[in-house]
Amino acid sequence: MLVRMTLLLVIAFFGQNAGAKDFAPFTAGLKHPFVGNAAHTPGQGASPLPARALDAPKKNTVKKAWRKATRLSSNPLYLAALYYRNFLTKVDGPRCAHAPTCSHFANQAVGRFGPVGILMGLERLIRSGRSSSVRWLPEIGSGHQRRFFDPVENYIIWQPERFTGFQPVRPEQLLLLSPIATEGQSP
Amino acid sequence: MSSFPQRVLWLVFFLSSLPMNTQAQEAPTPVTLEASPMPAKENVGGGTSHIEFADHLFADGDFYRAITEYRRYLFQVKGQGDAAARAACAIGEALYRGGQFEAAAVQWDEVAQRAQASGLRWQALFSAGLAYLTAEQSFAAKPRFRLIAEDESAPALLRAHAQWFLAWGHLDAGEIELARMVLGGLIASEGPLHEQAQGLHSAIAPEALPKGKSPLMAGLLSAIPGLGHFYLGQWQTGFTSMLWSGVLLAGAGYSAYTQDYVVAGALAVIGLGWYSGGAYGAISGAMQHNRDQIHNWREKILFKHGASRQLPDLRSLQENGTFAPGTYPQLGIKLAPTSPDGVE
Repeated sequence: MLVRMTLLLVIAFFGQNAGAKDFAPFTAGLKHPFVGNAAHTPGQGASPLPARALDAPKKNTVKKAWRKATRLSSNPLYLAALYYRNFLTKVDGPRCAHAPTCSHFANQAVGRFGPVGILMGLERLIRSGRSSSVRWLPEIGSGHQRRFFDPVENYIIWQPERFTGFQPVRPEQLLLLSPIATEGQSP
Repeated sequence: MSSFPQRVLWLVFFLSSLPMNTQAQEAPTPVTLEASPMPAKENVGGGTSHIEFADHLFADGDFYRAITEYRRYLFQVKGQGDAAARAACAIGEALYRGGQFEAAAVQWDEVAQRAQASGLRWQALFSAGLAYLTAEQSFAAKPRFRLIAEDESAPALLRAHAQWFLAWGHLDAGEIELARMVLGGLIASEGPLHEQAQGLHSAIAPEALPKGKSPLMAGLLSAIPGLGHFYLGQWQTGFTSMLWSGVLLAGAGYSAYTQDYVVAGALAVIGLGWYSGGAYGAISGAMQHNRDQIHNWREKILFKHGASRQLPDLRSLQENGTFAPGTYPQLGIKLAPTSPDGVE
């Protein structure tokens, strides 16, 4: 989103004089936010390549995740958790009050953070529905599926920026504007 | 053939089974549909019919169909004419009221870039800032409000509002001192928002900020299992941690005493894991406690001072007679270029 908006701002800054007064939705070089590539006129050359999703993982990340997953499949703790999740809990019934459930949580935590994830999982087992003594955890789902949402991100203590209570710090996104040439004319 | 008494009985039974309508029959109330919020005028037609119909849909809360009609209008007039700017702004407002805050901000940004009149540009910048603020993107909202606040040719009311929302942008980003500085300027100017700025200024004073718990202290106290959680006020978690760690470690000690080293080792590993998990939980709990306190504090401030962060509802605009999608007459902005600089 940020890259796309920056690109739009740059395009608008350099090519603004051509269609500065024009509010038509199909102005050349700019797309309506809801139209996207559909604004491309057929027969006018090749369609622009679809933009790569900003949150798509890089190839290297996928490889690393695959290696980690193959290591996990031979990990006895992971296999025990799988056994618990697929066999024991079906007898015992769904009784975890949190989402993700404690077994899912422990799997995620160990998969992402290794031994520290074990500590996270153990702490999670004795947590109540409260986030702290001053606030409840947010509830998700409805009816029998209602659970307290408590993701792994709540326990990453080496990233204190997650616990400020404010929006994450980011550099300001400026807007480049051209000077108004002919004041008072119809826009 | 039945006898006479039987016939009389049958007659009584028949008469008693008839429905008794003792109450007077009321005339059925004719079902009338409520009048549409903005009925079409008699002289609808010509080039303005589409934008009027779009306004009609907008007033009905049918924002997405209204967007289609505004776009149809822009297509028909080739994006030019006096009402084109208003239609472009109204698309942004319809997206905003439909909950698509980022798309609304992009739309208004584009309007600001193409605007050739100050009034239109100010309005688009202001609206984009508001949309970014609602979308929790204060990093994009702040520069837009700052552009208006620092423009001396802008109307005083609009500049005051821009300063007000700039302060909110800083507050959302956790820049309390900057927010107080902006509010201080607003108070010193003794402008239109002087009083409400004073209220927010005192609400975010350093002494009003919640005092948090120390994660270091929580971790140190967890040397004795459960004390760290007691320090955070989590009594139930603290007792559970203390109980389990105590039972497991005591069991390990007893097994070692009875020379059952395998059981002792197993219990010690589990017990130490539980003990370390409790300490880790106390540290993360302190950090979550501080975050939650800030959340609660911000919610109180928003509840008390943040009503202006939302657009006025459509019904109140219609009652005031100021309903015109895509415009802000209440801020002193005028879109139609009747005056040289587009300002009332």
